[in-house]
Amino acid sequence: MSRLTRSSFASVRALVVALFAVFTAADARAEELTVGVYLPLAPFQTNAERSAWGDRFAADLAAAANGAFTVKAQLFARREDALAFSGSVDVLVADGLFALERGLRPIAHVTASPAIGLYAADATRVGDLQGKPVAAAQAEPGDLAFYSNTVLGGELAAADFFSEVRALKDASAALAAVKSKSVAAAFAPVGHPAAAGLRLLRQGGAYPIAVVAVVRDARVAPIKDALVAAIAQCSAGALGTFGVGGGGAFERAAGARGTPRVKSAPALLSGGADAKPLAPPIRLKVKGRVPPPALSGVPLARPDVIEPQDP
Amino acid sequence: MVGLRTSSRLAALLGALVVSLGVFDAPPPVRAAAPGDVQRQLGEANDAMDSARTLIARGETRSAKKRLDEAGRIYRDILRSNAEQRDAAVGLSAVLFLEKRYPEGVTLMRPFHERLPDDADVSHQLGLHLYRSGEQELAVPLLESVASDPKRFDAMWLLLQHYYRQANWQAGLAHAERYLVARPDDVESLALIGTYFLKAEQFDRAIQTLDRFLEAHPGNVPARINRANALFRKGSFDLAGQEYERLLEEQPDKSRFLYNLASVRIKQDRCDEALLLLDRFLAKEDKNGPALYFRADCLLRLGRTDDARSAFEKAQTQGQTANPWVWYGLSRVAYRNKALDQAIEHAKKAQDLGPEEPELAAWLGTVYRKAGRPAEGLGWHDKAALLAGDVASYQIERGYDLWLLARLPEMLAAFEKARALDPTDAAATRGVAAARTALGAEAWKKGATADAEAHFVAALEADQGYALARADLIVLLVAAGRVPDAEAAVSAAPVEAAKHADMLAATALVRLVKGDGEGAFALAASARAGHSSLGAVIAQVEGQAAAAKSSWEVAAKAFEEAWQLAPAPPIEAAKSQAWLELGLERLGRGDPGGARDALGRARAGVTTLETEDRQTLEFALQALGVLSSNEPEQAAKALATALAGPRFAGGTWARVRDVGQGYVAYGWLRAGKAAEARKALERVRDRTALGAAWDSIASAADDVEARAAYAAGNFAAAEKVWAAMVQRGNADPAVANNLGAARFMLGRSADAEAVWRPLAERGAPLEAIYNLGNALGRRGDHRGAWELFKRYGDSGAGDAAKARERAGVKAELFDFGGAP
Repeated sequence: MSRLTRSSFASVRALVVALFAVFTAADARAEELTVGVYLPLAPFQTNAERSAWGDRFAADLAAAANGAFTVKAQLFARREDALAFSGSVDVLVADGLFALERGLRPIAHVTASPAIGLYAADATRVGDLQGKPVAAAQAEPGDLAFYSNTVLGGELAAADFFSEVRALKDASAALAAVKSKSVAAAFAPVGHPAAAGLRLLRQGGAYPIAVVAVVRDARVAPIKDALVAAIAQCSAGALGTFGVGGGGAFERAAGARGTPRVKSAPALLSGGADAKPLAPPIRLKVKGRVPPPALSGVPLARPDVIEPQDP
Repeated sequence: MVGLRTSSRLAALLGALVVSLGVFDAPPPVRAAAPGDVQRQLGEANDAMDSARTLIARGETRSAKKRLDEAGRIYRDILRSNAEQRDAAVGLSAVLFLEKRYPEGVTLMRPFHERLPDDADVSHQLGLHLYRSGEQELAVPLLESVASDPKRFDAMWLLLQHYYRQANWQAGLAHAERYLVARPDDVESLALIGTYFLKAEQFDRAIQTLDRFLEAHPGNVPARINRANALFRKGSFDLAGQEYERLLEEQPDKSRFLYNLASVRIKQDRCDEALLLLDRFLAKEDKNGPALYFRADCLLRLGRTDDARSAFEKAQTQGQTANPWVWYGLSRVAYRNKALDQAIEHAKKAQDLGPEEPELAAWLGTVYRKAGRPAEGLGWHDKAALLAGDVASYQIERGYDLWLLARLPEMLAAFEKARALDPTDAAATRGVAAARTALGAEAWKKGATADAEAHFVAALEADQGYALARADLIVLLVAAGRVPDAEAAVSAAPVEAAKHADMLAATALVRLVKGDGEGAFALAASARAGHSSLGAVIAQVEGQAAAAKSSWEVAAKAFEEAWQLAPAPPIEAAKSQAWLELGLERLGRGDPGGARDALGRARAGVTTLETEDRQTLEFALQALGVLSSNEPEQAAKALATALAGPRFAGGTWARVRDVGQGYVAYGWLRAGKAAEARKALERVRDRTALGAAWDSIASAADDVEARAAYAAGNFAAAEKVWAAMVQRGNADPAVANNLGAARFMLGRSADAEAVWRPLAERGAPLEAIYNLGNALGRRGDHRGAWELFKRYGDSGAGDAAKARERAGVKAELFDFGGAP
């Protein structure tokens, strides 16, 4: 993230703090929502950027709520933190696969476009990486299946094909590991800033890079409509744009976490409905015989045109 | 011409002689002479005459005159002493003739002729003088009475010239022939005689005579023209053309040569060259009607109808309005343009202008016929035939009219007359054959087989190559069971006739009855492709040949067609039989829709079937219910109930009951009830009644069970059934593949691969290829998997698209040569 961006975030943060103060003073009864942020695959290079995004989102959300509720952001930089504390926040802005694993139901989403890719430093094709270590942002166990089914087209099982899939705290870390040659390649969103200088070997599967889900239904229910309306007015900044609900990528991701087809495709049966058994022959005598030719009275050849066409 | 010219020269010479001779001397006093003296005097005079003739022939006029004077004087001396001395009178007459003193000759000889009317010399002399005096009517009978004597060639010559002038070509022919014999060395006369032959249409004689003349006078142009004309009239157009080419080369501006060579070119069908010649001719003689007509005719022959019309119209403007041939030409133009009404109008106009021209009447008749008015056409062709009774083509036209009027016996008579007039006319011959064939076909239709045969035989006597008559004769002979005769008729066919579509059909029939079904079928197909008119025969041949090799669908359709073309009870029986067999065959193939259609058609003719076949049909219709019902379980139960009932009780129905249980099992299978199917099979007492179907149904029952287990994820149970099937010897590759599938799903990949690999190598079933690829991919052999996926993807099988997609991903991941 550039220096300008960082200073902008600082300003925004100050503004958010000020706004909180205003809202607090204006309406002491307004509900305060705790918004957790865990986005390991988002295109941030540093935790500071990730934190700044969270603060900005909280501020924007509060502003858009127009006093209906106030917002408090809580950033989780590591999966352990997210696992430990995400259950206590009211609303969670999280990685799509993380949300899926938790069974959360998104009310908004940001889908990375294009997709997840496999970045390498030296290899020129995926096949070169057989038996080599690769890295990925640490999220969920199902992530590997997702990568296998999307980036690797279901034709390779990442867990088997590579010698190791090293789980790092986020995509930046995974890509940094490639650059430092500690791994041969890394899964990361296509276009991630940290991927500069690396070779994109293959990409596939739109990725739900961030979904917004209600964690504590009881607390949020009274203001859920206002919350959804407020989110719709917020910018997702570097992530893109919020959409309503889980989005197609989230739905697809739910089905892309199974065993890759290379390991699961069933065998095809032959015959079946199209294959019919022989019907019993219905013949009471050996072979049908037809009467001999009947020529009596059969029309014979008769001249039709007998004169030349042109006299 | 040359002869005439020579005669003129001779006349001039004689004229000179007469002038020099002057008039008769005064007669000397009469005194009697002794007979011996008279004979001596006559001898001297005759010698003088012979000498004079020789000198005249040599052109020695003066000496000849002296000799004639001498002879004349002696003859007169004799006559002075004896006025009735006949020899002296004849001699003097000859002198007078040579001196062209014809009236004196007449005066001299007339009394002698009155006294001696049968005296040939007297008649000869008097005839010559009378002719030259202009008394030709009196002279010719006299000359004719003596001209047969070879010595009287001058009489022959005179008569020849006489008839030439009168254009009486036949009357002078005998004199020409005699003269050639009498005066074989008279080369000069050959030009006239040759021309005479030409005029008398004795073309070979004309050419021969003129050739002799031209040997002596090779540059004589008139003789060359006449010879070329004779060649042209004879039909030797190439030779005539060569002579005209030479003449035209020598005299390029001679319009007559242009015209004549153009005529040759027209006859040679070289109208483009004729046109150029006629254009050159017309540049000199732009109002020449015949040339204008022939030019238009050429344009018409060249297909330039618009130009031809303009040319005919131009001919009209150049004074040819009343020329019927111009109207004839315009009629032909209109006909060519398919303006038949106008063609008729023009032809009528031509006929009005030339009512005695048979060709014009014939053309009008032809145009009427072409316009669909054969009755009127016949009237005009009758007229043409009346005008020229010896022209074959008019009879042929009458034959065509009568054909359209369906007056076959008269048609035959017309063509036979044409053939008698011109045995070489192919149209006449073909007309006789066609008429006979049509009469034969009619007789056959009426059941008069002997008459039909006679007509066909007569047709072939007229024209061995007339394929229709031969084809009909062959069918007739086969129908009569005279196969060796039919074979002989096939063998006797000329090569071209044997290729005719109707002959192919007839030959197919012979092959069929000789037991060569394959050959018959192939010939019938060729006949059909050639649009033979023996459609009913072809259909029967195809039906019989197909039935012989149990191609029941082809047979049924062929008999159906044969029935449509010529309904007859045996064909209906054959048709019903074929449909029954086809229905049973379709039942056996598990095609209930097709079986229903075929059995339904068989049922339409059930009365023609034998008892056993009727029973078969009845049971087949019941079995059909099991195969095609939307509620197969109910149908199976109903059939099972019926089989157990009284309708099928007893030993005679044992086989039907067994077959019926097979269908009950089939119905249960359709309902997915494998166990029930198996129970039905167990009720079959004699498995041989079901043939291969028993095993097939039993295997299908097993397969249904195995599939159900597989679908439920009970791979072990499925594997057990399929393994047992294989163990029992089931060689169905689908079963083997499925066994591999069950083992694969049980994690026994190596066992599965062992099953699939030989199947995949054979390429059947296709699923084995995919399955082996899937197994290889699972154990990390991605290249092997890629190759098999590609192969399966290219096979067009049901899941080919999925396999291609998988192969494409592998190709990208491993750079295997690119995505398919």
